[in-house]
Amino acid sequence: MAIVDAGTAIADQPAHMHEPTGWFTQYVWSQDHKVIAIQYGITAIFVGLVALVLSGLMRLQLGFPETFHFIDPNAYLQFVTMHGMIMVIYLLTALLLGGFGNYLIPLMLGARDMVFPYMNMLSFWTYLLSVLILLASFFVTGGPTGAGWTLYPPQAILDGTPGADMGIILMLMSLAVFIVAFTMGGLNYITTILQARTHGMSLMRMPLAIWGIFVATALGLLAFPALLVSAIMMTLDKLLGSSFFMPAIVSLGEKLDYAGGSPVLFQHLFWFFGHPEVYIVALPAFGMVSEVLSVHARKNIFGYRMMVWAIVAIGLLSFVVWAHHMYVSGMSPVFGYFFATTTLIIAVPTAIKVYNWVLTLWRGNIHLTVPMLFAIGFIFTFTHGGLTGLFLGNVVIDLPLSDTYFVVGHFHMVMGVSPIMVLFAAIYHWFPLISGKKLHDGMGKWHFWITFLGTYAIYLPMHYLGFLGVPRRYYAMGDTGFTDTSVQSLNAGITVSALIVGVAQLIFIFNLIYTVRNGKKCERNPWHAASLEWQPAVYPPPHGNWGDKLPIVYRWAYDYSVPDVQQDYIPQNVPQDAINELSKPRGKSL
Amino acid sequence: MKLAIVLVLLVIFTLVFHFVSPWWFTPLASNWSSIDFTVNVTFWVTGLVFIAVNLFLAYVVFRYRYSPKRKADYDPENRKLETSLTLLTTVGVVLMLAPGLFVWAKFIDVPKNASQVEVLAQQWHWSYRFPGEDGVFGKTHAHFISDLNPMGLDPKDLNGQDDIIVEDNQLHLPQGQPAKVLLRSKDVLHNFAVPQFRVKMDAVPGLVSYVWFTPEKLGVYDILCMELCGIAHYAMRGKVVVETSSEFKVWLAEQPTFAQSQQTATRDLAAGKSLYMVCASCHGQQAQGSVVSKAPALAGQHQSYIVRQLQHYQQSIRGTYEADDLGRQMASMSSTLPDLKALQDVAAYVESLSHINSPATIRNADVKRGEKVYQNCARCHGQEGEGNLALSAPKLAGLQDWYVRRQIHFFQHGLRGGHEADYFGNQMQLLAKTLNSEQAIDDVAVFISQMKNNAVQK
Amino acid sequence: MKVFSEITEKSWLTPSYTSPLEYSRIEEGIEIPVNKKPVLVILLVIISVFFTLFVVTFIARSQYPDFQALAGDYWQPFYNPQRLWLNSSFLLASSIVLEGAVYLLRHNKVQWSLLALGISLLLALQFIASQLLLFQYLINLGFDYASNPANSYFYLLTSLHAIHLLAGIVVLGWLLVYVWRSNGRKIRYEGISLCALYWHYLLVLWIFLVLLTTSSPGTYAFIAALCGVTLN
Repeated sequence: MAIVDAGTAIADQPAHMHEPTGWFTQYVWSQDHKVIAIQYGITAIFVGLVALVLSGLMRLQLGFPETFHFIDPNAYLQFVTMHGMIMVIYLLTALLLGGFGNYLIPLMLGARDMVFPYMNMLSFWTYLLSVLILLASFFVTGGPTGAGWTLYPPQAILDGTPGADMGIILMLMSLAVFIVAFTMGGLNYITTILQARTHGMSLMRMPLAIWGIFVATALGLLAFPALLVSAIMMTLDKLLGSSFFMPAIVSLGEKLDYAGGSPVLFQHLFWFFGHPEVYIVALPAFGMVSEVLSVHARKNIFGYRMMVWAIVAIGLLSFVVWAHHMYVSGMSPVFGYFFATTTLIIAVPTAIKVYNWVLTLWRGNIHLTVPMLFAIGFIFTFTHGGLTGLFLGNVVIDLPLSDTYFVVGHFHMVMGVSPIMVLFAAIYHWFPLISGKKLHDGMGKWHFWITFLGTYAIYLPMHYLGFLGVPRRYYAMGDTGFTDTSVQSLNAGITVSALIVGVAQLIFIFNLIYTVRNGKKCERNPWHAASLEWQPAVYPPPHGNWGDKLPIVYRWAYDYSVPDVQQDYIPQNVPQDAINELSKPRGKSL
Repeated sequence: MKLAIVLVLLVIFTLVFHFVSPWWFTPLASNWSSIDFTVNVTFWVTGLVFIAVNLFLAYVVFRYRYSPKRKADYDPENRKLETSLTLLTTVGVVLMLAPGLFVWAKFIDVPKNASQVEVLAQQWHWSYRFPGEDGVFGKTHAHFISDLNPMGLDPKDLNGQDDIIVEDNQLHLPQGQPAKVLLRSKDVLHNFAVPQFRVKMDAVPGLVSYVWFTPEKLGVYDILCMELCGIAHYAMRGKVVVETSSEFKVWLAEQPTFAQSQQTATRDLAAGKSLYMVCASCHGQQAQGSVVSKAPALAGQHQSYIVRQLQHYQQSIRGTYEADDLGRQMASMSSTLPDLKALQDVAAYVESLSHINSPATIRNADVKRGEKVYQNCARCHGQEGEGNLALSAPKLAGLQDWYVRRQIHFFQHGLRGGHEADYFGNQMQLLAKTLNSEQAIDDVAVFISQMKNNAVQK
Repeated sequence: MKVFSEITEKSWLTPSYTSPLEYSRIEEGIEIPVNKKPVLVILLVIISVFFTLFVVTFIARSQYPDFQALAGDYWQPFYNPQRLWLNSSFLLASSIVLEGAVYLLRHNKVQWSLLALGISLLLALQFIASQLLLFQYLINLGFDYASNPANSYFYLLTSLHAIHLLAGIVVLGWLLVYVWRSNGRKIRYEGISLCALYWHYLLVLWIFLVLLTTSSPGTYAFIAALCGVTLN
């Protein structure tokens, strides 16, 4: 309720009335969606770097065991857990929706700002609070939780797992705060998309990026409550001794005061959130990569309607596949039929998206710019990750592969590397809009090649470790009857690739800083994009985005290489008469 | 251009990697060849899609690279193409899903003639139970669990009396006989997985899950815990021995029934004392140990640990290596104890003695740091070093620092705990390797030696 | 089906400013009006999902043998849930009075409306206070939070409901002060009417929670069977 009246609907007022004046209101307590987006972005990239370092430490242990004495099994599990949680929630979700969602929604739709700017600002500061709580868990006794990012009870709250006291409490608190932040942001994104679209911006004229963000936000708003519910119940089990998820337990020889609860119930709740979460990350990435592909191939998105429907279908289906994470959880095996079927059905709309991206490039005129490199790299990594998903989704194949490195390889390809490739594509693509400057090309290319080839060198071999049966979340393999020394050498190789890829990200960070400080102003609309966000007169667009008059939209976002029109793109806000004056009338293909 | 070539190379690389990779499914040892078949089908379908999509992508990137002379097509949608691709994909999906569901039906449907075995998981080891002659398992509940009854059988349930209890990490199964494995857990989630059998399932506290397979190949296979279960998750291993049905029967007959395991013979302390006189020459009258004869303190150590180690010495599980001269000496000394009862009596006597701490001998050790390092050990050996019977972890408090250091080195270098019958030794080898600086070992050794030895075991 | 025709539009075919779909707001230079009600509706949907998930776990948990429902047998505290219904009447009254305040506001009777708002707030606070007393009563009877999952759920669900109500009280209180300070010149009509909607929602939610937590084991078993909830 606080949310409803927290801010004044900005579109009610003319632009000049809410122009911030002081430096503080402009850059710190800013209500401008563009500034909030950058705040989200910087915070997310910062925690992302923390998680990257954690993954490096993890890989050091796996590649070169018995070498680094500060990585004991405790620390290792804590690195695994925090790496996963940070990457999924605090980096990807926050950067894709809080960052790009915030930046792109009003600009792509021709709105002046989010509908509730004040709430939008609160959303960022709440997110920052959740990040601080999360980071604080590194400094409490016992350290952060090491229960794995899935935080399965009973182990998450019992001795025998690192951070089972303060660590897990802070983790759950931080998640709860994050969910509040996300809800405030998400309500804004949804209402802005539903209500604040400018004149002529029909739903099907929205760029796919907006569709992706829209559906992902809706998923988030409906799925995050499940995480909140499970977090609340687990916190109460831990602190007040109720038995929601805790059965009778003898932990390390000690009988505990719990009885009757069900750990599997937690898993159902968790994955009811967790699976949509995959698409919360994937759908905005799907949308944004479509923009990049279309612009740099100078061609309209192939099968736009199919792409929209696929996004919606994936969003709907993502709520009925959750238990494919639980085939071997001890739940009733009869569920296996249903969830294997729904899971494989979801492959169809996903495959359509891949086909349509490739067909968008087909007969295009492809500029291999840095964002385009990342976008095509994404098609490769996503195809790979998507196809390995068909192994795990098919219930019997999950039996040998579940909880092995195959799973690690699969989800890193599909929801680690792939969305991150899109994020890079998006940052290189929209950076001129955000800063008025183009990121350095040479550095960008180096960054792409090392990241693209390096990540494949990391994750492809992991799948094969999984076939062999090497379990995930093992601090060390030791001797077994089915692995030989080659596994250790392979792990060392993976670690070397991982470290190279990790260090290569410094090129990107340096490129950002270098460009902001020394980059030259670039031309307006440097990629000759047709969508609305590139059309403001100044980069970055001023407060209120559009000056006195809101733009009017006359066409969809993908009028590239329109026959009989000389210029190879027509911005969304150019009326038909203006084109008729500029070139010959358009053919009947329109 | 470069990108197109790289994409083609990546596809080739992936294929080559796939075909030359030595990392692939372990040879199948169970009946689940149908799972391997489903994997192969999926491999073919997805592999073809992978090759087709990426080669086409490479072609497109090459063929339609930027040229100022050309203009891209305007191509909003193509119903026919989109529909046929959708249909093709659906066919592929059905092709993969159908065999999967068939095999799953087999997986759910346990054969009627399957014999039952229960696997009980706990942090961080396995134990097993067979239903005994009546073929029926006795009831269990967590609140029955005690040191004497670690599997939590209902002592009043008649069905449970003849249940066969295997308090060891090795499970034996007869070849060719379908086995329904019932899974229970005492504490957190675990997962019973044998890579060669292909199937796996979580063990969940509070419920009984199951998995079935027919072991078809003779041999010894690893059991791995595949659900994160705490810091020693990676050290939670077991073995399954597949043997002929006659071998299996012999083995099973050697295992105690539940009723037998509940009989506690009274220990004869006086007999123990007189047996101990031999030991006293090295370990000291009060079992306080001796730095001169390099014998560890024994007083107050739990008898089950002492019995286990003496048995290990007797059965050439411990003290067999050339480099472990003291261990070999101990192995020959242990043979002076004639039978199990003698072992138990002497162990009971030793436990009844009270411990005296020895002064530290290692210089330059930092006890504070040792305490920090010890936190990982404390998970099993107890915050006070009191040991933990439920985890079979011996008492450590007050052990001499030089002894602790030597044992850690032995574990690290495989001089102790390497024998496959010494499960807790195997585990300790993995965990000892987490101490990978001499300084850390010294610190923790001195810290342990200075711990007060009056804490009561759990 | 407007939505259906909207999302099947072939938007590349209509490079004009009037797409085949009617757009009323087409005048250049006009800002897009924003309606706040949908935000609240979406928020209420999210809150409903939140509570539904709790309820689903509740139903599943109620089928475990250790679950002791709070009603059913005569010695259970909610065998006769009189006290609970008495508390509920405060919330009901608060809701009705708030609706009255909105009505008065619509008819420009600001003074009366402010009075009604104040009474509504007090009634809501009274509701929370009597809930706390009820908690105390239950604890005195020996129904601790942790002694049974049914108790845990009762305390948990009612507390979460109270937290939502408290948030509403803060907002409504803030609106009341706002109107008061401006001597009734600035009236947040939209905000106050949305508050009323929120109140009614919480009332319905409350009645549902009361019915749920005071049902008998038989009812739970029935619902569980209906939902196909199985153990594990």
